[in-house]
Amino acid sequence: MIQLLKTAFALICVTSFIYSFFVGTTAELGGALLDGAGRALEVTLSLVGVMSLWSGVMETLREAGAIEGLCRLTRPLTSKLFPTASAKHQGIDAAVACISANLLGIGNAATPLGIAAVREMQDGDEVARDDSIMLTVMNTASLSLIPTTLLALRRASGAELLFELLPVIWLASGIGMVSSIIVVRIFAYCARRKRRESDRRIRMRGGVLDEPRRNQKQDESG
Amino acid sequence: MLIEKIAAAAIPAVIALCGVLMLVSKKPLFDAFVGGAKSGMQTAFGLFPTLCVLFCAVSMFQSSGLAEPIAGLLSKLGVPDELAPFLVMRPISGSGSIAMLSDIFKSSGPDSASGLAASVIMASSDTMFYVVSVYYSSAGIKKPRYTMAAAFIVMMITTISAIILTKILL
Repeated sequence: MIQLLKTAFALICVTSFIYSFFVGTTAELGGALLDGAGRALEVTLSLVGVMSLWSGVMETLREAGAIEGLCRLTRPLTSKLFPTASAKHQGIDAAVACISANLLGIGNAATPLGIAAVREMQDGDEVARDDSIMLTVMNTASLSLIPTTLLALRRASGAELLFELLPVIWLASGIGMVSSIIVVRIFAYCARRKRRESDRRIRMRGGVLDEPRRNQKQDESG
Repeated sequence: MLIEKIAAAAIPAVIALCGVLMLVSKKPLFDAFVGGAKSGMQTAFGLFPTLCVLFCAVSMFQSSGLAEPIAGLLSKLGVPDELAPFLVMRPISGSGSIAMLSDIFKSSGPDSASGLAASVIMASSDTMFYVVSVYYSSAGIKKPRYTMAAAFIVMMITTISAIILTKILL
């Protein structure tokens, strides 16, 4: 993550600065930067509110055993989506709660619950696990049944099509959800195969003397 | 509309459910609520450094006007002209993409082809960079592996299918 953020931050800042230098908008950049830092604090403060609330709700429901029932009900699905976490019982309840919050249209509860789920799934591991990536990518393509902000925006601008748009949104969200599952599965499969291949190569290197040279050649060409 | 009423009732209903459980159950549920809230608060405060870096970069990007040439590139690839700036902003900034959406509503109307497509894209996707940064930095993930590639591909699929679906169905 550090590396990803570093690259994104560096790329965005450097290209923005160079571009604004040539277009002549450098004067606005300084003010915008301070605004950005201020907005980060605003967002953090509002996150503190919603995250405390929804983490409290989550803990209450968990303690009461209400989430356990929901997890048992959805196990056929979650054991396929998050196989490792499901076997170890890590973060599945938060993941189920996160997806249900999205479905119910409680978007601001989905973020804290998703964070809790990924934290538990990772269990301190610094390398993203397949299950965490699955949940994260599923959440970047949010599946919401009632997009309240969008409906309010459309109503305010005098749109004629309001609820007629919902089935289309559900269909598009459904496509997003299904494609995120498929895409993550494909990536995970490729990563697993690559790892197995390299394992086998190391084992071969130990066994047969001639093999490694041929494999190295294949490496260079591939 | 019934569906809107259900949506509005969802949050209070969940909280009320917690209240009912506290009254009925013999377990220390109120303590659980407070304990959960405490850990949620700590997680949220811990996110501030990441958010600060992220939002500074995003605001620099927005005010530099760099979105324009990228949008120009997109419209050369066949994306409708009005839609391009919105598509550039959608994965980067939530408030920025709402502003772009309002621009489309003002310039070509909410019921135009671009207005409808942008609405569907807005509702069926989330701010990708924000979601990934927030999740991963709070979980302490240093190697995201294929996350961004997968999220990007899914975003493309959702965007293209939203444009096609609004054209066919509406």
